[in-house]
Amino acid sequence: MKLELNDISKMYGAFYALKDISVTLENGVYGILGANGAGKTTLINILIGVIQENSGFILLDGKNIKKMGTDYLDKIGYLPQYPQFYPNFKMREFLDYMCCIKGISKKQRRERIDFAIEQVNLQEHEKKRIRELSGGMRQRLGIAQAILNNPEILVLDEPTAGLDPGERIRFRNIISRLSKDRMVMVATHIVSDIEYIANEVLILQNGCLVQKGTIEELCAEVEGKVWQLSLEEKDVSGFVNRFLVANMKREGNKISMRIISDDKPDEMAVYIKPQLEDVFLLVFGR
Amino acid sequence: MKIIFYEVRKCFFTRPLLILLGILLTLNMLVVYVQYRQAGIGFSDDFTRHMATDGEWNYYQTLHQELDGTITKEKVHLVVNDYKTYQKKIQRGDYSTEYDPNTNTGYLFGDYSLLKTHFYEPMEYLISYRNENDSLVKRAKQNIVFFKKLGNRFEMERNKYIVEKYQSRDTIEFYDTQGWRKLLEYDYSDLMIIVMLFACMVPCFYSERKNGMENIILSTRKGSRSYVCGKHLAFYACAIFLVLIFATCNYMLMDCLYNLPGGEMKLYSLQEYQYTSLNISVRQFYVLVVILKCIALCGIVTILGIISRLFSNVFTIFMVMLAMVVIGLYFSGFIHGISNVAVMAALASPFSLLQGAELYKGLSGINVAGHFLPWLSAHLALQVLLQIGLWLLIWIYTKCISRRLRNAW
Amino acid sequence: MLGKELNKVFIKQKGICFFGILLLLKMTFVIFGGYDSHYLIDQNEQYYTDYMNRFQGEITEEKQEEMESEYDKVYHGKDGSLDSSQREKAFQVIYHQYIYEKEKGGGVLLDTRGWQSILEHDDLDFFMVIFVILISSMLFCAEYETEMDVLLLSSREGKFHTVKIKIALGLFCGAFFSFVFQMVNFIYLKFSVGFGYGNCLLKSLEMFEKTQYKISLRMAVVMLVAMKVLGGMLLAAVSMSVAILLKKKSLSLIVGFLLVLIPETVCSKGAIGYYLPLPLGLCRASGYLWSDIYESGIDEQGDFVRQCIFREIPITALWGLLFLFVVELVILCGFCFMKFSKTSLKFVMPIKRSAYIFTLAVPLFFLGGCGKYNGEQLSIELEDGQEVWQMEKGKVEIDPENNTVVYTDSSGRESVLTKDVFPLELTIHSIFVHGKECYYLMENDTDTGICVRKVNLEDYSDVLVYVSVEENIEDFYGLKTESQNEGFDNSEDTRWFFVSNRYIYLKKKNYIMQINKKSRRQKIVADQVEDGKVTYDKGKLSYMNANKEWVVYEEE
Repeated sequence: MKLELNDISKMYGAFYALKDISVTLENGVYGILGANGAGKTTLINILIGVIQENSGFILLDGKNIKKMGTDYLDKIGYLPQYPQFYPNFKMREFLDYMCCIKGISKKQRRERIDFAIEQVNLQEHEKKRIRELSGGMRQRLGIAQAILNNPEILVLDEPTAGLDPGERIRFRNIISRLSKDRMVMVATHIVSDIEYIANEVLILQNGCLVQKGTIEELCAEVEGKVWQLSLEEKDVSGFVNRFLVANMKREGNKISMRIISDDKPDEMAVYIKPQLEDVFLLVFGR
Repeated sequence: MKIIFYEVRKCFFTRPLLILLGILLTLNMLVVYVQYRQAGIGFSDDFTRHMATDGEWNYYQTLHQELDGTITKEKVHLVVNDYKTYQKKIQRGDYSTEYDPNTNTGYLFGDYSLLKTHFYEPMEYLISYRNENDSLVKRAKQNIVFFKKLGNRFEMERNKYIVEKYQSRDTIEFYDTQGWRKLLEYDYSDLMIIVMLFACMVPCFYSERKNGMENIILSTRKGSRSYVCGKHLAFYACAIFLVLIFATCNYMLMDCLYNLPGGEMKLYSLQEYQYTSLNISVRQFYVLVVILKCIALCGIVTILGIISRLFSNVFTIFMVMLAMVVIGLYFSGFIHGISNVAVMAALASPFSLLQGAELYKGLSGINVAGHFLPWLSAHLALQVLLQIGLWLLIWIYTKCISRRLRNAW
Repeated sequence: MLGKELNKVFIKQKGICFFGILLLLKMTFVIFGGYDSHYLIDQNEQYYTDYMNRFQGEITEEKQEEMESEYDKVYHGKDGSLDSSQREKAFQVIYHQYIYEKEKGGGVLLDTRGWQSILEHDDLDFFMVIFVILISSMLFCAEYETEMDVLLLSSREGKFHTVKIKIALGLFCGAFFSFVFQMVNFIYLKFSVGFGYGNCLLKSLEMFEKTQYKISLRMAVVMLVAMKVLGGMLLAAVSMSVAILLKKKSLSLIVGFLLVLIPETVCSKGAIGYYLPLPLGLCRASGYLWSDIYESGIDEQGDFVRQCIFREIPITALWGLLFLFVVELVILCGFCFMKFSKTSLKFVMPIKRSAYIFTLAVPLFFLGGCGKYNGEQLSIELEDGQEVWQMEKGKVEIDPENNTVVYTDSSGRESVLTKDVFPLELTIHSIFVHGKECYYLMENDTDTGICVRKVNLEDYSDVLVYVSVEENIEDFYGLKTESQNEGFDNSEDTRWFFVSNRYIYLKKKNYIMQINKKSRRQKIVADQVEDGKVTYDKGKLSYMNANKEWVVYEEE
């Protein structure tokens, strides 16, 4: 399966929310990284057909998605940001409702709901009302409803926001499991979530696609630019003002700093292996 | 103070509500104007520019220019002489009904009718007022002695009250009172205010809960103490603001349409208020009516605020508030009720003070353990008690909620 | 899918509860509001019913002869018997109707009360309006507020199919509940006064004398129902549009309600409300069938003049308006579709329950109850004319010149009982003294009814006991139509009256009326009452009827 975005632009008045986004996506997990206001949610809304782009077109296996109509929506599974759903619905009831609106036949519903609940490990909480679920459970329910129609394209908007570390790990594992034979797009600004599961990363800044590639490819661009240095506390402010500091950690009386710089910031600085967060910081930190 | 400001900002100063306020103000002005245009049509005694001919209007204006102000003997003679002249001709029966350019309005009967309805009869009322009032006070003084002998404290106090309020009254000024009557009778803006309050208050607590802000506010030091109180004070501020804005708008509009002359003339110069217990000017009475409306709406918003807080379903809030408004308005209709139930209903309903203009047309009082108590005093006392009770309820409920939250954490 | 939407609206959002509450309130209002009737019929219903049963139907020659013969009997008493005034009044109504039907109407005499109640009123059904607005808000605002709209739009069925179902459901609810609420009226009227002779022409009702419609009564009602159903649908469409535009439940409720309330209060009189592109006209509907309505009065010159207060809506205009309303409905539905589918203490519960109970229970407070006779000790004899009342130690009489009541004691000393310094609006007509209380009845020649006050003979406290005009003066900003006080026959003076513990009894010409002091209900308890003495003793009223027989009426 191939999803091609060709020169997608979206304007709100004179402001470009998205500008000339062109990318080709295939099966696998894609992380869409960007700061707040970068255009992640706008891109997602265009992908799921909720808003119309001002220019450009999207092809799915060579077909324009606008001409596909509701057939395209059959292939989409979507989890919105901070979902509330229907608070007074029971979980199973809600999933049954989602089956209805996804056009799943009555015969298949029970099987699909059971499968979805099993995938997200919510069997014990089936009979609870949605308002009684914790944040993590609600997110898992969101995944469950997104996969009911066995979508080829799974779109998740900020899926791990507000989750504890355990829930986030659980979530990542579910995504990894689901990513077989489908395209999963995870929009987030939590870099560590992407780092563990994404095959490729798209970095958006001010509505433009600034970087695209695997994590290794992106990190390779920052190769040789990430340094570690231990300093006295009195010298820290000077380095903070002059260099891009990725991290600061107190070790006894000294401060250990992770600096991103083209040149070696100090004689005592040591080169270290870059991470995706360093790439993120290089793009957004300036 | 700032908390109240922010509560007002949250509940009232939002774009949809300000747009709604604009629409309602415009609608209110349209209604005033439409009523002005419809005045005089049909069988009413109203006289306005658009329903009069040029001749009628000129005659009307000329007479007012000559007669407005302090009533003098010359003015009285002028009116009486003219009236009697017309009356003789009319009573003879042989007057011409054809157009006569020598008359003011174009028709003899038109002149007579205009003079009689808008000048002679009002002036007659004003001149005879003093004597009638003096005989009323005299009878009241006699009653005091009489009821004192009988031991009827209620009637004695009532008559004492009459003597105190009604003595030494004199109406010395004559003006066109049409505008003031219309201004005091006009109550459509109360409906607009109630609608605005609905729009502000229905989602007030509900939206805080929905946004998750209620828990955040209640988890702060100042917020937990002043959340509910701040909201209610904000409601009061909104209610008073709305009353003032609509009252000002009505006053200005009526002034444009009717001129509202003679704002300093006594209230009892208006025939409808012949037996009012107030000795204030018409303009002061309007201010008093506005103040009473402020008090009424403050009482009403306390109850609406409680309803808004109590229920979590916005439809339930809407229905219960609507039911409360309908019932409150219905109870307020019993301000001249007879049975004890009707009297209590009117006293208990905070909507009764919206009928301030109606209340002061006569002397209303109730019998409290043999004592005479003016109706308004009784009503205000009961409303104060009601408000204290409601605030106690709010305080207890708030305590329960905060205890529940603390236990949950 | 439809089932899911119904479940969401009626079960999950408690739409069915709101429907139950509003239906109950509607039924209460219908029952207490009663039906259209003339006071002459209400006071003499039995006679009216007898005459109607005798004369109703097509006005044949035999019926005409019978009618004229009855007329002679009632008004000229040719057979020598004393006719009751009740029968006369009932016949007056029948005869008036007969003359109208014969000369201008449909040639059929029928009981028109049921038809009048439906066709001659254009009151807005606020219960139906509130419910339809609630449903519309529930259908769409809930999706926006829970942010489910995005999920719906990104689903196959949700994007278009669900929206269509929602809109269809909204329209269906508007139509269905409009019909249901109307049926409450119809069922009540059917069991109260009935709907006989539905095939008669519309002009059988006097108000429709000059109507442009040559249709039957039944057809007129069907048209009315259909227009109101269309009105319900249009109301639903408008409310749904507002809900989709505003997205918030509270705001859409209020704005939706305003779109009905404001035109209703501003355009309560005249025909203008029927021309507005709002649901108001169709929700009222009756006015589309009315002919010109005039108001009569005396102008400045003393001439009797008529003024048109309602201008007839021509048939062509009606069809045009209906077409435009349908177009508006289609446009609004299209708008809704397009906009939504783009291409949401333990301590608390008792208070909430109390609030619900209080809201429901308060109207019941005024229902009152039936009391039993409690051994009234009053025992009196009365005769026509009560200007003077003799007591053991003195007398009480009316001073007509000063409109006061004067008590003269045994030594000849006079004192005025009515001490209120403010002049009375009505004229004191009769007095009745019982124990230490002197009651005085006031009435005028105009339609201001009667007023009864009582003065304590010891401390002279003066208290209002009963007034026949409506006690409640609230008009809900023009929404409540004034009801004329037709309960009293003001053309006749009251011959006598007295006040017992629970009732006021008064005699007018040939009948005795009983008025419950608490509930204010009036009932004629005796007719064909001869002039002369009546006695009342412990709940038993004895009087002589036209056949010179003593009849006893016993209180319940």
